Amino acid sequence: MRMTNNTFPYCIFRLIIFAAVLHVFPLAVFAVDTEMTAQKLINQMSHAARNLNYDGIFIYQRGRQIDTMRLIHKVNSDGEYERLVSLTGNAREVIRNNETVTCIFPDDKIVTVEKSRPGKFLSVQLPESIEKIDEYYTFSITGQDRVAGQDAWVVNIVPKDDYRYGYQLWINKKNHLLLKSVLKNNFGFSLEQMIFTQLEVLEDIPDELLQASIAGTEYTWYNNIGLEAVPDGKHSNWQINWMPSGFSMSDYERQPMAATGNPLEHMVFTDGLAMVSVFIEKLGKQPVVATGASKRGAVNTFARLAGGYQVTAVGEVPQSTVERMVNSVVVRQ
Amino acid sequence: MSEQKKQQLSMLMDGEFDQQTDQIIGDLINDESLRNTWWRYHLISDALSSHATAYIDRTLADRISAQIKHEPTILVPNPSPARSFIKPVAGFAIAASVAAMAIFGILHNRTEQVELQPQQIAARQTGPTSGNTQFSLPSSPRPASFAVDRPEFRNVGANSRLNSYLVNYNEYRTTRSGMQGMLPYMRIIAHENDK
Repeated sequence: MRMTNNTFPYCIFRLIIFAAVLHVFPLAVFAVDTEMTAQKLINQMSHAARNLNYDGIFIYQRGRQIDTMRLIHKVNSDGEYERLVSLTGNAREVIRNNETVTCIFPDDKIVTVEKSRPGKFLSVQLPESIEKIDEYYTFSITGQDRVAGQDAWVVNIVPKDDYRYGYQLWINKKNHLLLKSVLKNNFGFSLEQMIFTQLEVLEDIPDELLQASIAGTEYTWYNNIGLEAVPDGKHSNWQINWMPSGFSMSDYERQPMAATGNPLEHMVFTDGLAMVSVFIEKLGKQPVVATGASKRGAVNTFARLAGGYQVTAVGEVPQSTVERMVNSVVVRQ
Repeated sequence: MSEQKKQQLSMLMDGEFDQQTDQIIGDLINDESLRNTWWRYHLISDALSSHATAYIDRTLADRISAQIKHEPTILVPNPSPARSFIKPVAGFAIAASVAAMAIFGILHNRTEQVELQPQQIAARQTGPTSGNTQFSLPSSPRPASFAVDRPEFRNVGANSRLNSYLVNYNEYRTTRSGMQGMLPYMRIIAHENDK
């Protein structure tokens, strides 16, 4: 009896401890969960962007500049077809399919055609190693909102260092399409944002909607796809000695530059979220040089000369990142 | 206030500096109506990016300045009890100096000159179509209204090297870490300062 009397309170005590642990533990699970759910949502968003038929109108704002654009996306067994048209100002547009990316500039009466990279549509996921990306960004679902009359989760992606930008994404709760995105600098200020005012998912998209609005007959065409790629299999004679931690080279290609025929190397670096392209172009006899810093929207570029080459980094990252990367490019020893 | 001032102000806001806008910083310090315009521009910008707070007290800075003017200048360090009294003033001074550094930092960055030799632009065949063409011949007469020497590759003509770079970058941006689908292309067709 004494034994039982002694152990009874002890049992109660253990129960209390157990209950307390149970209470605390779900919170910990929840914290992990929002992070995992945020990443899951982002993956679902990538998937939705590629695999749904949709037609929408959005506003693109940076500083006091605002453009309105229409985005049409169609997918079938042959692949994807996309068209982006500016609804304000000149009716510039980009039409993208399995083979080509066609940019039309009515203001300059110019059409450029570059080759698309359709083969890579398969990798729509965030970087293969999601665990790794946690080292460089914090993911969280910060709330709910309504954009274009549609309910959305708000996902926050905050970088852990100053070498990359942060993102805030509004993702449709049901179909997971991106409804709004804000790109933020290291101080959390908005650099640019995109907001859909209307976005419809459709059973089918008529092909006419994907046709260019101009015939292009009196346009000057620059075709950049007929050029033979430089045989691959060799790696670059250049190496880049600095990049933000977590970045690695995901792609490398060599081809002649369309406008000049000069050899061009293109290296792609990514941490899974941010991406920087480094272009190394051999300059011709009458070199056209554009060195220094530049930007378009939230894309920063930096270029410098190295021997008879121009080295340019292009990326949705802070100016200091592209600059540092370009300055670290050297000829491989 | 002249249109030119307003334009300089908006360029300053967009971080688009040149020698002319150096002057505007000095003007901002001295001209209250200019400061009000500056404040309004920021309010518009904030409202657009939904950062605007419900109530914005734009007289705060003026009131702090006025208060500081009335404060006696403290030359002798006070014993600790007075510390809490000095702190806000010191904090304000630090903030101001940081702001000044930020402004000069940007100025330094933005006034970097670029070597631009536009022979390649001839490849466009359409010739320099607009005054905003950044890759124009340095020796060629540039429209007086456009004295900006920045290497922005906006409106540089669709066939510029950087446009081609951007498309190639976007291709990987779209397909590799393609969380936003084709949206990165919005930067290629967006209009910059088109009048």
